[in-house]
Amino acid sequence: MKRRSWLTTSPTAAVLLPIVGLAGAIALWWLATIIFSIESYLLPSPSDVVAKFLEDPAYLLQHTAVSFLETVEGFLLAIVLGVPMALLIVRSVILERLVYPLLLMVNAIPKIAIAPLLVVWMGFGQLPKVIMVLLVCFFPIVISTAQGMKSTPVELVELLRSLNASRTQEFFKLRLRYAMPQIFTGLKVAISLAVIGSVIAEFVGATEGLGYVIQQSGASADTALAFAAITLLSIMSIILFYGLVLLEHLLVPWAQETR
Amino acid sequence: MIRLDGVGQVFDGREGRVTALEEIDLHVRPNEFVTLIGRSGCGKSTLLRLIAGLLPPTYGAVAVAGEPVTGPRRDVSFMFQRPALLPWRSVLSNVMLPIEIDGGEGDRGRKTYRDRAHALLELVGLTGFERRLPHELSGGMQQRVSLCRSLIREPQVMLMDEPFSALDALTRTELSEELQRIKMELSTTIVFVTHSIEEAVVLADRVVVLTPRPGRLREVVDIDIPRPRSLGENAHLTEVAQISARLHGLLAEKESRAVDEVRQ
Repeated sequence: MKRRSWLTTSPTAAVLLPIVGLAGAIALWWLATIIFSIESYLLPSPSDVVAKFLEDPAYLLQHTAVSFLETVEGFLLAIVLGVPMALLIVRSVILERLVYPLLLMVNAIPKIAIAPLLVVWMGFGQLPKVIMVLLVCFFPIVISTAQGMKSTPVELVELLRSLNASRTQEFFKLRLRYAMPQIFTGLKVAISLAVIGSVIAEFVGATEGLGYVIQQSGASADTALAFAAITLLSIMSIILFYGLVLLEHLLVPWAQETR
Repeated sequence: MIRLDGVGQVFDGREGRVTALEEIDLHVRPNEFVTLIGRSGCGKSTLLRLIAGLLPPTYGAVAVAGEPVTGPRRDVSFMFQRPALLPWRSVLSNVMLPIEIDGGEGDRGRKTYRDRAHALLELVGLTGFERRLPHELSGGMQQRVSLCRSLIREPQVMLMDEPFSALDALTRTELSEELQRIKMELSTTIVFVTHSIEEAVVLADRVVVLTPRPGRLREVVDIDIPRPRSLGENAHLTEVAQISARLHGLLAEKESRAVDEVRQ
């Protein structure tokens, strides 16, 4: 049998390979702009994008901070509202039947269609953006939390019953803890959506944020600026995602081994 | 210690009503070790759940220590077929779960129970594993932890639902020896469900044989083999084998009778 290569086993390679992949993609892009001599307003080269960023880093970073804050606020709000909602759904069949179709319906609405409405209702400030993020994050968080709590093995539920545990104890000592890995799956889906949500909201009636910058750069055909903003968005998204992965490793260390 | 008078259990299933248990009269004496055997679906687990207060009987009366059972009792512990350990809790913390649920762990109480937990873990040979997580242990070790957990409240009655059935034969023999030893040290009343005839004979003071569908008491057999008993010792093998053969007969007999009933 073939020995497993260093590339699949080494932890250094696990960090190195994604970097190589990214560098390769950027190199290809760069090469394409040179070989086909593409105009900068159509497709700027990586150096154009970096130059654009360095022109006024404070300006872009400030807008990044705005988007970041909206994303995180909306995301946290979705957790604060979504987890108790899931708890209620799991606890009561009546409530589940009452609320579930409504949730599905709200989730089915293309969020970009609500963006202008949110501006009408809440003005041009931060609030409609935070609400937009909340709307896109809420559903995956509720669903994953509810599924996780429902998947608690029968024998563990029966164990707690046999110990005369209260319903509250059953939820906090068992169901919520058991749902943690699945909650994190939902959170990871939600955080990527959250970034998209904040950008969509900033496209409509905003005065700051990366979505606003992209919108503006489109109007003035400043493609390099748009690319710089998009790059910052992706970096933000990656940081948030891996932040969650790290948190999961800290909070649910038992899950990696048992599932 | 445990009294069942005319107990019956009827479930409303999808295919109509199913009588799981019918006219069960059983009296388990304090400090007695009773095993329940029967074919699968004869309602032996249901019977255990009635005693545990996890399920109210459709009719009849269930009493533990002279009091009618209305729900799970603190002095009755239940042990499942699977270890049912919480995967995020250490061994020690899993053993302490019942005490935590009671909420009655003042600083002194916690210390007392913690000491007890350590003593129990030592009793089953798990000293040094207190801080491990369940997935780091073998199936036998996990079931030992589960045994400690069911002993932490110092129960008067232990109900055990095929606790060793998922284990390999060797571990199973070991654990049944350990259980007998623990029983002698702690003097609790035990009702133990199993589908293994040998296990039933080796462990019990009395074996209760149930007939399937509906579950009825077929016969109660006294076992007078001196303790500690082991399947690993020749001295007990003949006696265990003789009684086992008789129980085999009882279990097979009503199978043919059931077939007769269907024919009529």
